[in-house]
Amino acid sequence: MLHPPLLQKTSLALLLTVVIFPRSAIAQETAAPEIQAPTAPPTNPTNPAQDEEPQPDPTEDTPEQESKQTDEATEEEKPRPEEESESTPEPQVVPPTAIRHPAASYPNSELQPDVTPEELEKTTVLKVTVTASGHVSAIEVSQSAGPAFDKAALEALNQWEFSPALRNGKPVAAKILVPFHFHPPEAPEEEPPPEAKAQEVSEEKEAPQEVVLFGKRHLREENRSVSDFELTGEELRAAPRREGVDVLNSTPGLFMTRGEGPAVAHSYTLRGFDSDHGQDIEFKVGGIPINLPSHLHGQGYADLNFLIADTVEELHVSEGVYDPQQGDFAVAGSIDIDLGVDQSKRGVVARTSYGSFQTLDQLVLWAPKNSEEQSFGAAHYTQTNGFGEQRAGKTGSGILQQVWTLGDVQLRALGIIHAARADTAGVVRRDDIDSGKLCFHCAYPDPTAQEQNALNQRFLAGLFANYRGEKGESGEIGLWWSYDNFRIQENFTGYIHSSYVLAGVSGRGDLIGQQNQTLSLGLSGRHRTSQYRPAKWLSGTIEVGAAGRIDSIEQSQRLLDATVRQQTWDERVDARVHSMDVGFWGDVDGRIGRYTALRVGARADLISMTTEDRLGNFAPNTRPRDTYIIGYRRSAMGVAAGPRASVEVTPAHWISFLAAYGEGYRSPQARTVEDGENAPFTKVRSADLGLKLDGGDAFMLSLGGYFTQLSNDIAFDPVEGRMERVGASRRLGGQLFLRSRPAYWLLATGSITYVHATLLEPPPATADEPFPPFIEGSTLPYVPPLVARLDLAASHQLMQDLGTYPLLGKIGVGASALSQRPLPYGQTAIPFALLDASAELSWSVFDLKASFFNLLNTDYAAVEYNYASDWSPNDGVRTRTPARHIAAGSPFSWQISLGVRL
Amino acid sequence: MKNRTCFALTLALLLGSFLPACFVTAQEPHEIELLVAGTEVTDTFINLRDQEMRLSRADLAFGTLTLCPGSQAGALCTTARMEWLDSVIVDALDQNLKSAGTLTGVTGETLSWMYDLGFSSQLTQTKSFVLDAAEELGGYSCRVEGEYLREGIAIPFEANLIVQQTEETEQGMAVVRKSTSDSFSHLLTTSDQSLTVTFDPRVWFADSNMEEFLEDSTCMPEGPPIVCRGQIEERCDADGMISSTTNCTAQGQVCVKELGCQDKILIPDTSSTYRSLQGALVAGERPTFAFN
Repeated sequence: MLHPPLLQKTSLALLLTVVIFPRSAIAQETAAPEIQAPTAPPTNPTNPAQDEEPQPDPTEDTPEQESKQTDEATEEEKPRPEEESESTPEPQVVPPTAIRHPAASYPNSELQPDVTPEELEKTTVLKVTVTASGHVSAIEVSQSAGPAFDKAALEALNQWEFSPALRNGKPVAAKILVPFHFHPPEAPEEEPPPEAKAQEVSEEKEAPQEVVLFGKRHLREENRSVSDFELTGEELRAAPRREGVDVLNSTPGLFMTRGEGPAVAHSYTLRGFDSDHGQDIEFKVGGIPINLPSHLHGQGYADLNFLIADTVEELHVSEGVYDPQQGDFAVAGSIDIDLGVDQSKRGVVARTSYGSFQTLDQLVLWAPKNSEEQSFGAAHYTQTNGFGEQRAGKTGSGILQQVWTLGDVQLRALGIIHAARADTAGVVRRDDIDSGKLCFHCAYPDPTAQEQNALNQRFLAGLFANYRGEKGESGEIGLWWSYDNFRIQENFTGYIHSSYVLAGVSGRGDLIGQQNQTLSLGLSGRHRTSQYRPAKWLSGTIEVGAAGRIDSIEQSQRLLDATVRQQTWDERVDARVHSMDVGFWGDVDGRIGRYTALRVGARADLISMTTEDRLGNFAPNTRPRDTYIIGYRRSAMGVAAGPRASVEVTPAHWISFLAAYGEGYRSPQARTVEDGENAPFTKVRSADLGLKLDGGDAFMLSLGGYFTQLSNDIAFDPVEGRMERVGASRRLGGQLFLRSRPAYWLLATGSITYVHATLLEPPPATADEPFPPFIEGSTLPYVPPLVARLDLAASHQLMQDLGTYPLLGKIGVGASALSQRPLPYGQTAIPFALLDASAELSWSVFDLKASFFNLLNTDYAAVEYNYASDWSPNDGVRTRTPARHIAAGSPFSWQISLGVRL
Repeated sequence: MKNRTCFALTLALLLGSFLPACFVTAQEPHEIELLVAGTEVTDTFINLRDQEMRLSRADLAFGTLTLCPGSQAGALCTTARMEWLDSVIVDALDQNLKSAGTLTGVTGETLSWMYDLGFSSQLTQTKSFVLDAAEELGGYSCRVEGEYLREGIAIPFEANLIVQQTEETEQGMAVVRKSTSDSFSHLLTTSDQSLTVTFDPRVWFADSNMEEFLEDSTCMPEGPPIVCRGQIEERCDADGMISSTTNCTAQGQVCVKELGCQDKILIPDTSSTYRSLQGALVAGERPTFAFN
């Protein structure tokens, strides 16, 4: 209990030396010239009891900082501060600032009358971690003044609120030293007037202290266009997440659905690209590419179900293809997922969740406090009965990442293992739902539908090293390995297939069994020079890099008879594929004058593949089978090359205009490539134009338009259960993204993406569709013109002292909306909106959270197609006209979780 | 004020996303009326075998009908352009248009067609579905009656045909399909209102041979027990001697080979005429398809 008369001056000051310190304890790197020194926390001279006060402008340099900056610039290269800020690739860092800082009390027990006033002067220094949300966590006593003083300091600091440290305007966690100086009351019986106390506090300025910023080491400029976004862990976890991969929901323009259960990759839609399972988005996790080339279930198949939300530190989203580092599948863009555990979430965490449909979820996280944010181990297990028929499943993931810093070099090892198996309900016809034959979340009762399921096993491992030299030069090298085993049984069409192999055999159910195994090995590396300055107004760095991967793929697709233990009754694919992609790039990151950044580069990829198609040349009607051996071996190679360029003009620190153009590519399904085909890849041309408004921590807004053209698009063909070519396409759209923190306790991000996606030419002719319908400006099927997303989090300390610990509360809201979207054959899918919400209480080591998903209990289709099927083989004549089919999305569900963090 | 404007704009965009969107699509769902008609055949006609005939009945169980986007209907017609899954009895001697129902599907190029004749084969069934029209025809695809005019004598005949896929043929496919030699091409648009399918029953008999059921023979050793000597029925004993004779014409009957005096020729399913009629229905000269 604090006694007002005993309130004493507590002084604090935070730091004048700022050390960028990615993933390590105390970095030796020099301060960035742009780093702005923090000021002492503000005080209110007229009302010291007021805890929340206006935040001072952290950009005001103190004399000490100016001195520091001057010292660190060499005499030879010393630029004017503004010049350096234009040209340097160094990050801009603003340390945390206390915005609410109740004073500590001088402990009564320590007021000894027989000691001198000097002996009563005490100092306790606390090392405190300030989270990216500005909360205090992980306090340690760095310098003790005795238990009573330490306790008083700890009690006070626990109530502090900070404006978080900023790196390039983005909140990051930071570790700082906070000294508490205890001065004995001069006249305990007479409380000094508030003004006097405040004056005493404000006068106390401390010697420079260290600030340690956590997070990823900044090695190169990643942002190239108005459509580049960095989303922090705090933003990603603002809204409730049902599973780890749901952190991607906050990505502007992205909409994810799960139509085939937890053992199959999500279906992604990103700014006008129906990416199916990842064909148009280049995913990397911890630097390891996730997309699988020539995957039978979908080109660029990217299963992110191994993600554990608590271990996702940051998303870097690059929509469009403007960075030469972007490689295969960067068509709509790239999403790099950095793994790590924020300082505020670190510790040994055990969390159990239980929710609707008997869903049990268990997380164990090992992330020692005060160690590198990127070092952690986590294991996660989920089992559920699912929200309807045929949706039970189990998934398990383990992720281990360790970082070592050896001077300028940082080593990182990452291992991921994942397995999942789940039943899938498959699709059902909308007319069967409308007629009452099936409920919305039901599955067909036929054995061929009841045997739908999927299994995935994946192992990923990588070893990465990066360095950053004293002059800003940097480099990275990585070696990674991946094994993926995927198997699925699913039936889209009911009973319309006939056997190609067995004459006269048909109607046994179109249960497609796909098996795909991929073994991949990859290597990547790059080097960026230190800055060249050929002229006073011109500076820049040069990067060269290379990335390569080799994949060995075994794949098969068969029709299975569910009534006879999945007996094979037809073979559709039986192939072995070897593919290799080697890419080289160069990039110049230059500064022209004070306001302009120009980045110009190019990338070329050599793509080669061989296919042993064991069923190829299968032509029993034209030649007697005993005259040849079935099989078709073919190989192809091509070069995909293109420029990448962007320009950024920043006339003022709060506004920048960006334009970008780039050419990328997507590799083809190897089996679709003919022998000797010269340029089998899909060419992507992309352009962006827009502006960003940067209001510091308060808000960031980006508004832009974009254009993307593909030489050859692909879309899902439910009849064959795989992707098929649809021809050239174009997308023209715009995007608005807003990140705002109007108050320290409130965080909001939102985005609206509009796109007009059209086909430029008729789809390739086929035997059953020799003249594919096409008119100028035909809308691309499956692409929603509008996607909107809102994430909202509000957190506050509900009680300051509940059994010596504060009680923190947090609510989160996530809302997504998807507009109508065109389907083939002139149909339109129904729009829908989803609303999720959560409430969380944190006290001491405990976290209690209640999450609610699809609060409006919307019946929505996770995926919707329009094609011909026959799911009523005994009820009449088979229809061949297209019908709408859906895979239902999850209805309203809840989840309660209890976690312990030690 | 700014906040309000921003909020209103955001709300308008969100709400806008739920308004009906206007998509440019090359195809649209469409329905057209299916009309069927026959051909008025009042006079006699002569087939390819120079056999003169006159028809008094030609009922056809028509349906289902599928229009396909590809040039080859059948296995390549996984997705129909338009289809009609019902059936109707077409009086092939009545030239008046008769509404059979509605073809439903989408617009676009259609290059082939296929239809059933009252029996629809399914991939999952060994036996074909018997459609309503075939039920009404007594379980047949086609019933024809007429007279074969031979040397001034009108010889009545009747054929009751079943035309369907079997396990030996192409199960799951419509039984009558446009062949590659048939010309058929139409761009279905929303301005198309109807499709008229017109049958001419005369073509069914193009290769039929009624002489198959007639003969001018006499009893002989090891011969059949009944022979026709023209319109005279002869019954033969074991030694091949005539045991009795009957003038069928005098009884208003016709002498049918191996059967003797009968009211008419009932074309059996084992006969070549039956097979030629089946063949003509399946692969003979096609009905005409006309879009309006």
